[in-house]
Amino acid sequence: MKKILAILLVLAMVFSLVACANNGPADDGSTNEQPTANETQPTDNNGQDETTPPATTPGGGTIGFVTDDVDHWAREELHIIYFNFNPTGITGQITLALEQLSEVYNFRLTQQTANNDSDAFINGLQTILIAGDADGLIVDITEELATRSADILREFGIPAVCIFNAAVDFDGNMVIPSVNSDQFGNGVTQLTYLADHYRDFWGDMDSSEIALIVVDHSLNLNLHERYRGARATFEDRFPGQPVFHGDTLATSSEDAFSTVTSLITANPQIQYWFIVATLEDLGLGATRAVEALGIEDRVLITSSGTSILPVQWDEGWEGPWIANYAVPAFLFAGTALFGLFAMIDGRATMETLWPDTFLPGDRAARFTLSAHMMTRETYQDHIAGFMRAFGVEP
Amino acid sequence: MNFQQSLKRRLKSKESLLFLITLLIALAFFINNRNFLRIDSLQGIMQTMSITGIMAVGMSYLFIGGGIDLSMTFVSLFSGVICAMMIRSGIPWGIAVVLTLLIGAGIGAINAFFVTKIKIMAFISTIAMSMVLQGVNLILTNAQDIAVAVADGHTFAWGSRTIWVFPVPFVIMTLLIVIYGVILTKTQFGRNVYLVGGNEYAARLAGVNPLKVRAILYINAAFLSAMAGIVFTSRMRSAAPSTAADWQMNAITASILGGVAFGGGSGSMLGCFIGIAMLNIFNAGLSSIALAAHWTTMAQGALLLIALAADFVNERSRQKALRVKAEVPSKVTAKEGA
Repeated sequence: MKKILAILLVLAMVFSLVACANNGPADDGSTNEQPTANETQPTDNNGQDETTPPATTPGGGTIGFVTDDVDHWAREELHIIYFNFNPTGITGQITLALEQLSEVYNFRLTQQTANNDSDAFINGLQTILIAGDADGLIVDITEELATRSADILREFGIPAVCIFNAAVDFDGNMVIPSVNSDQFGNGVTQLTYLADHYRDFWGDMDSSEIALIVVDHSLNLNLHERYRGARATFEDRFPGQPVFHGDTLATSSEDAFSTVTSLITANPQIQYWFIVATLEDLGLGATRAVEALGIEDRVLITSSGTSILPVQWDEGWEGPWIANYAVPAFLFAGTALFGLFAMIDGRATMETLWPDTFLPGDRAARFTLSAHMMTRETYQDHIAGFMRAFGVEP
Repeated sequence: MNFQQSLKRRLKSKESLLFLITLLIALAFFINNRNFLRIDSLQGIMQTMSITGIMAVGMSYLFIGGGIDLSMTFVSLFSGVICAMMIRSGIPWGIAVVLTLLIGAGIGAINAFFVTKIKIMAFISTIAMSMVLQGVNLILTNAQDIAVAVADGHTFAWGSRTIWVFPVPFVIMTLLIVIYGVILTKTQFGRNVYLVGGNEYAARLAGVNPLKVRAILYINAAFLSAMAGIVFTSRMRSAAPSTAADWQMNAITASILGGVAFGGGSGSMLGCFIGIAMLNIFNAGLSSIALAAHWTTMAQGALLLIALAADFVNERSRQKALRVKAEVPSKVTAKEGA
């Protein structure tokens, strides 16, 4: 009996080795194939202007962009897996966007989440890749998972694009093609909007009485970059005026409420406040804190996202939260998707995708999205515009 | 026992020590910034402590009765979502609130069933329930917040209003602390909770059904979690399907800070209240000096350690005093016998 079991185990091992070898990168054409001439075409997408989605600006037929000249219905249906690290409002929107895009671009979507568990993410990634029925992956991961995830993806040779965060190694080099937003620029843009528009709300007041609170969660390095951007811009525009770092214990509205209340009540001498919330949950908490303190007329709040504030506006709300730095879900999802298509088709590799922004030291392409502020007046057009740009009718 | 003895006993109690520590913390922040104890600052602290506070009442009862519920955060969030969805579908908010509380109690009944009937360890089964509710929340909302009572003057926005200078959520929390305090100290059920948590075997001998008591405690904990979720939704005028904040961990911390025994059998609602106040005053103080998050986390842990150590020293000296008292009469008796 033992001998039979031993023989079976040996056979199983041999079978596993053969199976692994078949899934290895050497057999996969999608990531190792040399780029075609088209891939080196220049693009001007990465520095898009404020009114046009980036993927619509190239001259046409550009690999990795929405203008890529491919008949998606001439090929077989692809299976794309969106594997997110933590389900949040924006990941829910990404899923919805991908579902809508799947009807236009002939792919089947599966969505999975690791529920904020790093081990679960790595195990889940391996399980997905071993199952072998995914043509490509869209992942959103934190930096600490990037190197390990990149190793696994390379081992299996399945194309993947990371969204939100830049999937960089410890030296800051990109290891998975990434579509991320300009975090420092996010803070700069928010503060610039406040600095440019405060007189529309407060009229002719003494601008030396303005102070800044940045509601941040410094343990998240991306959010902290936004803080740095906002702070630097404020110090440039309002030199010598007070800046308060509202560093919350967690990215929850409750924590923001408590932090903003504490900072404002501890500084009653300050007449006017700018509040830059690095995330929408923090913006909501900051707004409710300001409302509870009854000082809506001398506070202006901005944040980043397209999930919570538009819903408040949809319900007719109006208050001190006046605008958001908005990178709509369609922009993340669509940009990642077209990069993925190019790699699945073998017309680009992780190194040759989006060549204009490939940096020395990088082992994978990067696409840094920038966006502009949306307001109560513009948010519907803003979001709908990006949907149309990717071929989806709102 | 005369008034003087009673007062002396009170002053030597855990609660007095915790109250003193809380006052010292508040004083330290007040010295640093004279605006720390302004009314609007205190109102902010009262607002913030209400969610954790309501949950801490349920958690303290469970601890005293020898149980634990790690699904409270997600029961709260789920309840907030359900309540918001009902209001948005046109159900009057009063009815929505009552139905949500009943649903919360129902979840507690399921928890109670698994813990007391199927005999699954409480922290395992309640974590499982937490995961189920997390999933249901995401399915129901696609991870999107649900705005509710956003329009000016909507009556469901009571969570951000005040009664005199007291925020409504704080009033609710305080009423609950008083009511649950009275139940714990003045009723047979309260005594049974202590008995079940302190010594389950003795409780059985005394004719108390520990399973029944614990089942009620689990239902109660989920009921109060649902209430916390409703209060949160009313305050934020938005129901969140998930949160990065760990409310139940704050509730556990507040309960332990307040002298509620993790192992069961002792604790009080007054201690629980002081624990909540201490935690929130401390957090607000750190926020007011714009301390970085990692320092705040470290300081919170240090506070918990100091409070636990102080409680331990206090308890040990009390036990020592009791032993001395017990030994003196026995020595006297021995001498008399000789």
